Amino acid sequence: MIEVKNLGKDFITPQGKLTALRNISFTVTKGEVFGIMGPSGAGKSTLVRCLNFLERPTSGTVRVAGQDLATLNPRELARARQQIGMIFQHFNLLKLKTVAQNIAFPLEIAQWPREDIKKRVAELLDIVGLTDKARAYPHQLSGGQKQRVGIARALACRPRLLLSDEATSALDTETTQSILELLQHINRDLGVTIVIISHELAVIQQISHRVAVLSEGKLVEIGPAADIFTRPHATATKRLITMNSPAQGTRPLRGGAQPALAKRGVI
Amino acid sequence: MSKLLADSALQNLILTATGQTLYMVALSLGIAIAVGVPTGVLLVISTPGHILPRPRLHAILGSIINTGRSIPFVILLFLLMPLTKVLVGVSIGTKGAIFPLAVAAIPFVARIVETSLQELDPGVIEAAQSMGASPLQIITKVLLPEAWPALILGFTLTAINLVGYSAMAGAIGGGGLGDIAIRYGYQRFRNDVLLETVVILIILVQITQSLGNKLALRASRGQRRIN
Repeated sequence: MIEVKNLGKDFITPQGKLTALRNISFTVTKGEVFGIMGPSGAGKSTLVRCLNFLERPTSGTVRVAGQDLATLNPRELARARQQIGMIFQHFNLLKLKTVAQNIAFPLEIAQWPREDIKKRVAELLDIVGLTDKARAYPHQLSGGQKQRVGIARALACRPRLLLSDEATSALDTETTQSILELLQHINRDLGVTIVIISHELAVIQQISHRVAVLSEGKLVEIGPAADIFTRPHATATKRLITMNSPAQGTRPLRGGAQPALAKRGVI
Repeated sequence: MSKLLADSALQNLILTATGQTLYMVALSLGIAIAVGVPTGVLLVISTPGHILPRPRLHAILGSIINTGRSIPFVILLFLLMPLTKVLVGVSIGTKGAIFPLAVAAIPFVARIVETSLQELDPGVIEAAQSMGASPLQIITKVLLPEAWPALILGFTLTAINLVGYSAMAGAIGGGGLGDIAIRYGYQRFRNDVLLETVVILIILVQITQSLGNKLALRASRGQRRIN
């Protein structure tokens, strides 16, 4: 589904060149949930933005569904992006549009016929369980409901790939749980490949099949989730895991230890 | 006051002048919006890091707008006279005043559009980009609709400024309430006329502002804070 080869990203800042990512290679197979974790500042957000070219890599290639994104002209890139859904930490909904209008938005951009949009929006509202909120405005929704709108919107054009940028990081434990369950449902039952980045290890551990660990812009470890969390090899991974679970080992979010740690600023 | 009320000819003049003021403000506001909004949008999207970064265009537009805004209106009025004459056919009177009024308001509108669009959450723009929206789609479906309540308030502000500017158009025989206030109120020592024009201007501004507030509130879809 995704093939990243020797990816590098530099930012030109007034202070000089800043290397955010260096020489990153990995592949994401169709149908899997691929987690990317790392401390803040490791380059996770930049990396996920390179997967739909919201950030253009400085070097290397990104192939999504066989297409090398760098070779596409703006129109082709737009069409490719319609096949890559994305959800965000702060939901990024249109404030002055209703839930239904927000979900219809990507379909309008893709210039679907009006009748089809109506039908598709109804389907999507059903998938995320917000049929009764169709006419509500974002400011009338809870955080979890807003993220459900975000998910419905990201799925609107039937993408085969969903990118999740810290999608649960602004939510409480219980809501995080319900959003993760929704994402699992989308992965399992709709067959959507998911790339999820999070600084919350428990989120990555719970949902990912395979995990990549990012540290200071470098990919230090990659492997099945079970291996990474039980037998980490890279020093950065070990540090990340011990720092996040001083007493109890890494536990799923339900344990309730993580939010307490988050409050203390440990996570 | 009684002497004035008896003077029905003068009352008619004031009525006509009110109409002229409204005409000048409405038309010049329309032109200023038609030119100022695209200019403001261009100013914003050409910012480095925005959806269509063009640093040089951005800098040029910015300095044109600043130049326009730094010329006092009374001076602009006379400065533009030859151009007004070419474009409108006359350089004086109500018609002659509309062009300079619009020219004065365009950079103002452009800056208002700029601040309104800059207040939008960049995340929403990024979301639209992630869906494959083109720059034009982002402008028409995200930037302008999401900034609409703020834009309405900005246009209201522009309209009120134009009421004030239009009074100065009296200086070139532009007609309107300013003209009456100068010629009758000031030059003929009719303090009652002066007072009446001021009262009408106050009422006009009040109506404009509360209308603008109401429209902006309705457009903000029940959000407490506009934008």
